[in-house]
Amino acid sequence: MQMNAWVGEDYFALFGLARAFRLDLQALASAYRGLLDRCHPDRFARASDAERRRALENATYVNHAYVTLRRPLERARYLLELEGVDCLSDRFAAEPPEFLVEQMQWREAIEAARNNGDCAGLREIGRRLDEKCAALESELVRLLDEDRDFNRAAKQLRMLSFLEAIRRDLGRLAQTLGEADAV
Amino acid sequence: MLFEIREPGGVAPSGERRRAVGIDLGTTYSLVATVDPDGKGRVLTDEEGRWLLPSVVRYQPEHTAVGWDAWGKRSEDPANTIVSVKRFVGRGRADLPAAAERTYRLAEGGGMVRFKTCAGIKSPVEVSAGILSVLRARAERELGGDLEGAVITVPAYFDESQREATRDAARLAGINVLRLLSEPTAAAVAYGLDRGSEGLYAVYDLGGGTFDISILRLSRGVFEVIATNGHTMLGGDDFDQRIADWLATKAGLAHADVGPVDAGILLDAARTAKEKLSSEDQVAVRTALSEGRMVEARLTRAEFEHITADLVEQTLIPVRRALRDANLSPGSLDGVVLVGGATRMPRIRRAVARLFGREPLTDIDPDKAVALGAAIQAEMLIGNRSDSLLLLDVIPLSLGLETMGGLAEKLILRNSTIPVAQTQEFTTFKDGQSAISIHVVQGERELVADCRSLARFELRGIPPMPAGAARVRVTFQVDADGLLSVTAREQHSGVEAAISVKPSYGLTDDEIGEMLRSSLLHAREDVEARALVEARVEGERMLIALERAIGPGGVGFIDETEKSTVNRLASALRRLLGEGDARRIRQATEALNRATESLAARMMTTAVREVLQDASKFPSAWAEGKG
Repeated sequence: MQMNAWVGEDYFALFGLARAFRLDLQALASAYRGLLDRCHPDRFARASDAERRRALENATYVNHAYVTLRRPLERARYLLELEGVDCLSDRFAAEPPEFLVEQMQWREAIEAARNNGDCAGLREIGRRLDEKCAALESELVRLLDEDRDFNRAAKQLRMLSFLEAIRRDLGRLAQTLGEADAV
Repeated sequence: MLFEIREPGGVAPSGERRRAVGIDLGTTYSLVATVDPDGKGRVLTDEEGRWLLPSVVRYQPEHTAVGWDAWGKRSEDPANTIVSVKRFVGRGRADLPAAAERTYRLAEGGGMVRFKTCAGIKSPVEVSAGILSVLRARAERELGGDLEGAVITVPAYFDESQREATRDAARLAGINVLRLLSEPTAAAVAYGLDRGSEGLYAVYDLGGGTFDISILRLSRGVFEVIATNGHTMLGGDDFDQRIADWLATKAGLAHADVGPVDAGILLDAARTAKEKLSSEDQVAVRTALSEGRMVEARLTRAEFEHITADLVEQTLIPVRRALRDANLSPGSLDGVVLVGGATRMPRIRRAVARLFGREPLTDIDPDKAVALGAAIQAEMLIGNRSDSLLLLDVIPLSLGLETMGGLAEKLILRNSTIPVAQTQEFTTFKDGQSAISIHVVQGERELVADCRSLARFELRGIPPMPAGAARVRVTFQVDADGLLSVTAREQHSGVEAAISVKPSYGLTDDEIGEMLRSSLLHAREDVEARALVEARVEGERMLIALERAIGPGGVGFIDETEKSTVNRLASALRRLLGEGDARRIRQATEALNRATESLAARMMTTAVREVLQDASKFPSAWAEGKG
């Protein structure tokens, strides 16, 4: 993350937002626009090479910060990082067995629906996955913003990441099928 | 350098109005536009009042013709008359369709294909530069003086090699490139500013040889591209080719019987027929081939639409993909804009209207929108335009590295807003390994073999370490033009290597230099004198910025020790500016730059706070996407 050291503050401070998982996305978006409006390389097209280089670094930094905060999982990961919890570390790699079982069940259900060409079934799985993710996310709000239990939050985040991956794959699958239909 | 915060909406500096243009370097036609002092966009014309310039260059031993003159000879002298050069830019011979080999004498050349002409071997970059030089001359004649710079548009779906090659062509034509801008984004600017539009818009851009779809969010002068997709080998030319093939079949000619000259004649007839069919239900084609043989046929619009239906359908696939990437349904858009001459075909309009469930917008001439939008951005970049306009473009294809087993590891994902950077750490896999080879690729596929190879370079001089101990950080930086540079640094030893992607398909700087020297397009320049001027300008700017920051009336932020160091370096620089050594001026500027780095950082932090206070003035209208 130390791509650029010119701002001594974290991404939340950069956009003038409180350091929390629950975030006003519209406030984030308008702060982002306000910052980029002033540091974008377009504003320095006629400036010296050094100024242009700095503008490039600044705008890159602001873009990176924005993307990180805009996506819930990345925002959670970043928050934990700020709190000194590295959720990629091995300490959290051991998943509770019931969760591994759950992952497998999702994958198997998708596989079965796919093999049967069951589009409605896939949609239903997608709906259930969405629900599950939303529930985990609101639990994450509680763990991060209220309980400040960062170790449990890190575990929760890993589960959520796995489910997100399944959800992404499912989305891709559904669209491939949809595209094949449409063509 | 000190970070200078500009006031958006600030007035352009007084003095002479600077000359800047937008250039649409198209597959079949190119054009140049400007914004007049009254704020109105205008496409510039040649001395005969024509605003389109055919993107055609004809080489003869003593003379090179560009535009209409060359256009007139393309059937007569096809091998020396390069049409649709944009399809060859940044491409290797293997990338090209077989038809290209039938028309031209092609040669390999450092990755990018070359044309063998009677005036020698020409690269697509040189051919493009020929077109750009004519546009530059036109602009300078119309605007009455030297151009300060130009915004040049490229298809949104152009990859790194093609963008690099386009920028090289502009350099070769003596044009200062202010920015490479995506064509659909340029069109959106022309539309958005014209109509004061807000919301989600799709731009469907079918040009002569390329197809782009971009989805943008427009809000208060901010044009944010959310997703883009396209096809760099699909355009109006393909529709012409279909009609030409149909005519050949009707005339009982096999593919092999049609020589390059007849192929050109048939294409001309096809193009005329296609254009007529946009307003008529049927057209009678009657044309004479080179040996006097007549080709006669009647083509109805229904038949035309039948033989090109799959081409229309091919454009809808990228549209659906872009919508999916943007996480939007077709019906959720606030408008769809049609750009590119090929969108005049009624069949295209119907297909787009059906997919999006709304009539597309066509009130700006689809041939002019891109150049006009580019001209607006050029005005802003050059400082003539006082309102703030912010274009946030994306990279169209993911950028990555080759990892073990020939897999492509993506570092920057497609549709990332530029500028963007990403860093990843790699390590050695053998004890004592002293070099690491870095292969930069672009594309969405998993296997390197299926992606486009952009560049290879090596990081050497890693000190001996056990396998896995070295830590090589590879950083990808994509700038606001969408151009990539890659650096690799071993963290323990500090060994570093960098490359700005001069792709395998591009030209080396030496080649460009050689072309510049040998080219008649460009006057020979005194390189050293230029370097000195540039170094002085840079040094002076540095001193001015410093004065503004710490001089009387400056903003402060500096303690006495820091101030004395900075002042010492500043006076050294001032002294050197009076002498004639570019290298020493650069060194002194760089030293001062380093000494003021932390000062600049503190100023930035303060500036950020000010922005945030301002940001509260923008209420929630800048809606968040679903992405």
